[in-house]
Amino acid sequence: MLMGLLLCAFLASSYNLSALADNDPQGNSAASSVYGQTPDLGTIKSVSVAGQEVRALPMRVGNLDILSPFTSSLSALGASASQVNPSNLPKGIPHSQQNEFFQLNIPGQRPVVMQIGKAVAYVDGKSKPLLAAPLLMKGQIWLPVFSIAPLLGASARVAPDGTLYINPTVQSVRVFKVKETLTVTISTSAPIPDGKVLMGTTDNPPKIYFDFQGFSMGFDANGSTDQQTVSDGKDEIDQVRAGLFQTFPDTTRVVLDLNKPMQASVQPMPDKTLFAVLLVSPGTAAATVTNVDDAPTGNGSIKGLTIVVDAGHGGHDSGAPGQKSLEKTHALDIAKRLKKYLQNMGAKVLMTRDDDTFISLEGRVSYANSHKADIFISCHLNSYTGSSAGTETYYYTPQSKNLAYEVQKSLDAASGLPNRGVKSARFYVIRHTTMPSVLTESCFISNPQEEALVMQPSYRDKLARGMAQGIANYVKKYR
Amino acid sequence: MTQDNPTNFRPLPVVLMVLILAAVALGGWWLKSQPPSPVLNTAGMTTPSPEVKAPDNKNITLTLFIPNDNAMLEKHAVTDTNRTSAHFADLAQNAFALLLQKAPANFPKGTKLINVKTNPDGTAILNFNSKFNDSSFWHGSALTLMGTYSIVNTMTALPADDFKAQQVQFQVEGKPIAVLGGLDVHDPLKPDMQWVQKN
Repeated sequence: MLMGLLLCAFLASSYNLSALADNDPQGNSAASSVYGQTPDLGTIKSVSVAGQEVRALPMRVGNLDILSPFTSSLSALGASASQVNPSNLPKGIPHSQQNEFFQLNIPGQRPVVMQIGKAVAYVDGKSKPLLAAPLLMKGQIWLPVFSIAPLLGASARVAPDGTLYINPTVQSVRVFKVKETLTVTISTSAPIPDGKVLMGTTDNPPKIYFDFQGFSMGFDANGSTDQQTVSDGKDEIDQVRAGLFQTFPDTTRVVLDLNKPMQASVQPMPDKTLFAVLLVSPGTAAATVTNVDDAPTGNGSIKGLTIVVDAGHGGHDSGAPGQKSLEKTHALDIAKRLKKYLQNMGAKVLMTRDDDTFISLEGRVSYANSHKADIFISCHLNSYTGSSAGTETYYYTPQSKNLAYEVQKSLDAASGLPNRGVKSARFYVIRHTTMPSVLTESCFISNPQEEALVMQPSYRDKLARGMAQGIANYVKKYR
Repeated sequence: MTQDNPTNFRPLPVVLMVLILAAVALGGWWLKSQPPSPVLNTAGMTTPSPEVKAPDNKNITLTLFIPNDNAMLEKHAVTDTNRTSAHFADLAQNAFALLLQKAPANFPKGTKLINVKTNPDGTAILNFNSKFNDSSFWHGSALTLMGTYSIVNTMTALPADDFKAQQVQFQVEGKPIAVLGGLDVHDPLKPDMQWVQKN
C-alpha cells in the first residue's frame, strides 16, 4: 500500500497530472502517432481480457492510455509476466533498482522488460516508448493496455457499452502443399482453447470458413475490422480472406475461396497457436500429416528464399565442452560456411549471430519470425556422457518434417558418421518458429574422435555443404 | 494524539460485559454446529496421504527408464520391497533416487527432488532444488533429452494406488521453469517412447 502511494506520488511528479485529467488532444495525437488511433478513453467503463472481466475498474491516464491490473489474465493472451531476468535488463541499472523491473514473456519473442513508473519498455536493451507507465498498487501491477496490446499481438477495442475488450488475434495464414495435399495453417497470438474454432462449408460458391471465437483481427489490421485478403491462393484455393464476423465478443472468420468444392480435415497440432487444415477432393480419404511425408511434389528454387541460419549458443553460453574446444565456436563456423553455400545458391541468408554473442532463445525465434523467414536451421553439436556418436536432426512442427529428413539425409552422407536419424523434440527454437524449422546435431563434441574431426576446417565445410544440399533438396522437392 | 491517563480508566458497564459474554458463548455454539469448511481449491495441492495403517509390507515393481551409453532409454524393472504404501509421492521419490543412483552422470550433481505434487488433470509436479536447472550442465540434445525423458517416462509409469500421472511439470524451488538445455519445458511433458531403445 505504502509502495503504491509512493509510486503515485512519484508519478504525479513525473507526469503532468492536470493534462492527464483532461481529454488532452495533444496526448491523443501522441498516442496516435505511435500506436495508431486510440479511442476516446473517457468512455471506457470496464476491461475484459479474453472474455473475462477484470474486477478492478480501469484507470485512465489522461487520453494516453488505460491502466488495468490484468497480469493474471495474460496467459489467455499467450503471455505471462515474471520477475525480470537480470540478463534482460538495460545496461547500467544498479542492483538496488532491479526490483522495479518485471518482464513480459511472449512465446516467439524476446522478453519485454518494463519498469514500474516509467513509460518505456526494453527489448534486448533497446528502449521503446510506451503511452503510459505501468504502476504498482496494492501489490498488483497495472499495465497500460493500449501500450501492451500490440506487443502481445492482441487487439484492444472499446464496445459501445464502454467495455474495453482485449482479445487474442488471428495473425497470419499460410497456404502450401505437402505431397499432393493442399495445406492451410492459421496462426494465432495465443493458444486456441478447445472447441473455439467452428468450421463451415458452402458449395455455391465453393468455400470453407473457420470461425475463431474470442479472437479479433490481427493481420497487421491495426484495429481495423474490415474484411481483407490475407493470403494468395494456390491450386484449388483462389484466395484467403478474413474479417470480423461478430463483434463484442469477437469472432474472426477466415474464408478459403475455392474454385471447386473441397473437403477439409483439421489436423491436431502440438503448438496450440497453430491451426492446420488439409484440403482434399470430396470422396478422397482425408490425408493426415503423418502419411504425407516423402513423395516429392515441388519444383521449387532456393533463389530468393529467406533462410535464417542460427548458430547455437554464444557469448557466456559456451554450449557443450569438448576436450579441446567448445560447441559455440564450431557452431558459428559451420553456420557461417552454411550461409556461404546457401548464398551461392541464391538464397537470402540471415544469421541470428555472426560473432561470439549471446542471443536468447526467444531472440532467435523472434528474429526468424519477424523477418518472415521461409526456412530456419539451427546448428549445434551434440554431447553425452557415454560414447555416443553420429548425426541427428530434430524437428517439431509437422510442416518441418520433410525438411528434417532432407537435411539429415545430406548431413549423414557428408559426415560419414553414424546416422542417428530424424527425431521430434520440443526444442524452443524449433517449437516457436512459424516456418519449417530444424535443429541439427552434426556430431558429438563429447566424443574425442568426432571432436578431432570437427576441429578440422575442411570437415566443418563438409558438414555445412551437406546441410545446404539438404535444404536445397527440400526446396526442390516440396516447395 | 493524547496520551491515555491511567486515572481516567473506567470499567465497562456491567450490562455491556454481560452482552459480550453472551455473544461469545452463542458464537462458540454456532461455530461448533457448522460443518467444516470445504477445500476451496485443490489445484496444486499435495495429494493427501490416507492414514497409514499397520505396516503391511508389499513388493512394488517400478519401471525405470534409464539412459544407456548410446543415449537411449532402457526399461528396467526394479522391485521395491518392504513398502508400506504405494502413494505416488512416495514412489516418485523412490524412483528418482534410483535414477540418480543408476545414471548419476545424466543429472546435475547435487540434484534433489524436494517434493511431489499432483493435479487432478493428471499432472505430476516435480519440485527440484536449484541444482536441477544448472545451465552449465544441460548441453547437447542427447544429454538433455535423456535426463528429461528418463524422469518423464518413469514418473508416468509409476504404479501408484492414489494417482496416475499422465504428464510431468518441472519446478525448481517451487517455481515453474521454462527451458532446460534448450528444451521447452514451460508446459508439462508427456511420456515419449521414441527415446526408448528398441530391442
